[in-house]
Amino acid sequence: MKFEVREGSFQYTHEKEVLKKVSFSLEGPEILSILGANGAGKTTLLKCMLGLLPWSSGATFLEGTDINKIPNKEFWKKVGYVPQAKKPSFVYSVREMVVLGRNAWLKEWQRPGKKDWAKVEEALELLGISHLQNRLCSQISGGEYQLVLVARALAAEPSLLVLDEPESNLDFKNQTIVLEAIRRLCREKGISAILNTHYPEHAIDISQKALLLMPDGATVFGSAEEVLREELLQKAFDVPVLIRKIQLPDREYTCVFPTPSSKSEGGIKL
Amino acid sequence: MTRQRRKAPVPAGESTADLVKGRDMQKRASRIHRLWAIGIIAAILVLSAAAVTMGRFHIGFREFFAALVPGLFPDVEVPEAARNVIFNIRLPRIGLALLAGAGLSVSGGAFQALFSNPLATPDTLGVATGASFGAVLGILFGLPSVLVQVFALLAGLLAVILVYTVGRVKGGSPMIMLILAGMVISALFSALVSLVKYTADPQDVLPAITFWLMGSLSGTTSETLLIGAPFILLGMLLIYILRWKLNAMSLSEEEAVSLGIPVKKIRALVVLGSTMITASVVSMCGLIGWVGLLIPHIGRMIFGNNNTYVVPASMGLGAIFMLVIDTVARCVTASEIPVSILTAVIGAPFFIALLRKTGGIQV
Repeated sequence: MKFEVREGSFQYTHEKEVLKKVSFSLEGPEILSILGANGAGKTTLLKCMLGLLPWSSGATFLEGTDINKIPNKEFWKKVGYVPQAKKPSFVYSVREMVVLGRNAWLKEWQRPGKKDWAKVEEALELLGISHLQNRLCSQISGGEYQLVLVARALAAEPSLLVLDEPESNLDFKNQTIVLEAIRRLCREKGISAILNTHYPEHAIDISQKALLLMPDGATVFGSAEEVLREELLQKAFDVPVLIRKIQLPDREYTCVFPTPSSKSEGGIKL
Repeated sequence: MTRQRRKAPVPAGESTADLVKGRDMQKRASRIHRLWAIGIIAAILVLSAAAVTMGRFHIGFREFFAALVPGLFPDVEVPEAARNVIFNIRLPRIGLALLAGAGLSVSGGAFQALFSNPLATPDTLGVATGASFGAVLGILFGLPSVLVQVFALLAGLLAVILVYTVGRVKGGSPMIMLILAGMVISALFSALVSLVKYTADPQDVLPAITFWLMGSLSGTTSETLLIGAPFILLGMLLIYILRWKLNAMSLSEEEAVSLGIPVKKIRALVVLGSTMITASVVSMCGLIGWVGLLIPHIGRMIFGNNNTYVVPASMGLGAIFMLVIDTVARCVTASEIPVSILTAVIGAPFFIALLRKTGGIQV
């Protein structure tokens, strides 16, 4: 699986460009994190690369083919999109919600059959939420609902998952559960993932590659260690940033701190 | 109640137990659904047969069945007048009541899912108002009833075409634009209806228009039914086929697209089906309020929000509801009671009772 954006630019009508010549590529089971300040265009970038918004110039390529030339259903069989969790006005049960992910495999007049329900159960089991399947989406926690949306995307058996701020609005524990699930899918199922996040720590923790959106519309793309450095983060978020590694029993974890903007305080000492 | 949240990965045995439990629940649910389906179909048949025997002109059960199946009761002689009432008056009217109720409910339910708005009705895009303008115009010109029906049908279709034209912005018709356009076109047609009423002769034409606008099935003949029914049936079939897609359509547009749904196509097809139903129902029986809003919600209270069940449930429940309403409308007093009055008078308390009993729609 190779997913690539070449020189993608985007502007809303009569405004200055939000995204300027963004290029990046992802190959094999890798995780790419996209970071940037509020309003830097992270969600816009996700939508453009998926064809939900049209690039003003440039294009997205899946396995070397411009995605505008790929029939919609074929594209959405390969790419699963997990939007920001927003509960719909009509609430469905978890099973009913997850089976919607099978749409790309079904004709307009078809309804999910045995095989589709089997895929649903597989996806639920993979994310460890089988016990929720008959609950209503309104009666589960925010973290569980986020997992339901991931399961819905997985039901289409994609080779790439695109997630829009999967861990926002979640508490510590649920953040870990969701991120761990993504990491596991990448490792065990060979699925690539692209995610927007507000947390540089999460990006460093789970991703191999990173894309940083700068306030001036420029982008920095590279391996996670290369991109997620103090100077670059400082520039991107317009706040002094410190990065420290701490040793956990089983691995090393990287902490990222925004430091108070008043220089005299001299940042945080560890 | 303590809630246990399990961390992934889950031990295999536990999770399989969850799956088995889930499947059992599914089986039980589908058994209950089957019972409901049988019950509703049985209720429709029994109530229809009962409705034939009710009314000013007396017809007994045995007479009805003797007329329906010749030779079933050899000892019962069915007079020609009774035969005429059964086949030319009551059966077409009962057929129309069933079709109109089922059609309006399905159309309302489909719009509610499509616009992800529980307050949507079959008239959200102005079809019913458009059709009623066509009809009152026909009545004003003193046209025969068949032509009034054709006028109404065409005006209803015209209204939706206008809505699509007005709601189009570059490259597509976003939901919010369609709804706004629907409101505008609906307001326009309802002003035109007022204009027609204003110019109508207050002696005879105006009462006819007013009565027609309140909804009545009294004008049904096999002829009108033959023109109108195919539209309703086709529209219902279209929505019935697409009913599972309605679940995805009730999500945000981007979400639906990302599930691989051809959103524009499905939306256009559902709007087409709904328009065919509503325009045709209005062209035959005037404006009937409430049914399209209420019945789908009753379906949701019983079966949950999954449109796979809401759509057939709306058909069955809508048919029963309308049949009961129309039978009351024609039997209770010497003159007909307008249907729209009854749908509200009977529908509101019934809805409230159900709301209390089931705790409402799952949210």
